[in-house]
Amino acid sequence: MADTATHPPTHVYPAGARERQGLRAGVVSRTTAMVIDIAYVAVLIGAAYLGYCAFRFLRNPRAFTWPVISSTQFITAALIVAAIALAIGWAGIGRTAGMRIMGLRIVGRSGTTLGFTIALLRAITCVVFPIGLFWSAVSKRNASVHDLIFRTSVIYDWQARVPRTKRS
Amino acid sequence: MMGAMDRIPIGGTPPDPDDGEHDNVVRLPSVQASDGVVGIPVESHQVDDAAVDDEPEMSWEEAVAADAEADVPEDPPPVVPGAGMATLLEQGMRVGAGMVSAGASAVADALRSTMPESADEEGEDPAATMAGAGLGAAITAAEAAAAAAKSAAEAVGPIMSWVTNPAALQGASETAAGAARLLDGQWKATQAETAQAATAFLTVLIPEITTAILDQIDLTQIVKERVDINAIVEDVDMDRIVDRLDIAAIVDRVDVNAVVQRVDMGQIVEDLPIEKVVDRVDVNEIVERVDIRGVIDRLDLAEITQDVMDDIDLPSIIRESSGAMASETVQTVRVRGMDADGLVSKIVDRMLRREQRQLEAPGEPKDD
Repeated sequence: MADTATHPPTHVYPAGARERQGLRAGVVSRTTAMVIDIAYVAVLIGAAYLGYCAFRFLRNPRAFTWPVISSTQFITAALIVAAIALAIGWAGIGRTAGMRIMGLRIVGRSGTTLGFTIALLRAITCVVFPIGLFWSAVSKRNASVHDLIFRTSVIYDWQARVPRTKRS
Repeated sequence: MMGAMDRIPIGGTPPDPDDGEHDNVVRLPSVQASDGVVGIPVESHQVDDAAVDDEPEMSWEEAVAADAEADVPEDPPPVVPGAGMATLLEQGMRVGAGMVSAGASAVADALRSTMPESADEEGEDPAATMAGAGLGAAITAAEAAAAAAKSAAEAVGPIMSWVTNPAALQGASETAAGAARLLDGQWKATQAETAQAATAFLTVLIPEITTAILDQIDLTQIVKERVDINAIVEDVDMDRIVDRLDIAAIVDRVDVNAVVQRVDMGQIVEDLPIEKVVDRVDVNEIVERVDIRGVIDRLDLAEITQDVMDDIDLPSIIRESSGAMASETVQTVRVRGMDADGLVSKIVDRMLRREQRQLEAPGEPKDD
């Protein structure tokens, strides 16, 4: 995980990066961010599983056995964790872990950070229909299906600080 | 000289020198009255004595001459005219004779040294005798000249008596030999006195002459022009001089502190060509002489390292460097993503035959 907090406030951009700040991001950057988010969610699920095991062990160590989770349960848990993680990230700082690494940020239709409800709904949509992301490759405004539904935009924003004041 | 010759009884046996009446030596008053030390410093004293003792020592010829000079010979005048001058002349002649005697003695000694030893053994020294005779004649002539200055008439009589004396023609050779011995005896009798007078005179005269000569001579200039100082210095054995010098004693007498206080060290340092000195210093050679290993052994490297680590916030440096590395990596990934986004969009747009995309996102100023 990159620690973007080490970035200086006035970012020193490489050649060609400054001009593209604030523009809508393309499919490659967003897909890369999504892959990172998937890995991030997997780590969260694994941590949750280990936490659950530790809880069971502490409660009855002698009777401890590794809990067996079915695929349905795993997928369900993964989706739930992913949706929550995405919603918290988007509503909190406007970006998930993957988006932070790739220098992306999601904004509403007025350019502000999403509200939690919109963020959660959009996160559920993304988790259920992740392939809708690839529409951004075709869209004239680099908009995915989720963007079209919730009128959001994912932009290049390497700045670590997120303007919070402009909430519509 | 003629005045002295009339006293020599030519042709007869030489009289006894001890006989006062027939003493052929002309005894000037000053000589007889003096205590044997005749010199210039006592000249005035001699003059007084001459004035007092003049009359008893006068022969009849002198008495006649004195009568011719003075109208009243029985009453000696308080001051005899010409007596002072005669005394001076006599003293001058005596000094001259003394000087001549000194030279003659040396000549006689030289002549004697060239003669065979047998001549010395016989007691007859012809060379010495002749030299003494010559000197005796000289001193007698001097004394006579002095006497002649006092009385001109005194000189006339003896000359005539000598000329009219028929005995002078007889036994001329014997008389000559006797006269020579007599003159020699006369010389020897007054040799010491005359030499002493000459010595006293020269003792006073030589320093005066030397001083006068030196006053007229620029010795320094003469030395500069005539003396080859370098040649003299080259012959000087400096090592021997230095060996004889007690350098330690000289140094002990030098107040080094006073000398140092008078030295302008600041000026010396300013005049020193430090850069030239430093250029001539072989630093590598100095380093080779240094026992670096020994220096290192004496260093507490552990403590020094700990101090350095305490002063350096190493974790912060590692954090910043790793953060910078991560930042660079992330920037590279982001830039690659941007480029890939542009490339994909361009491909898709070309496939769809579409113009540029509208990538401006809704910002704060505008609201879509």
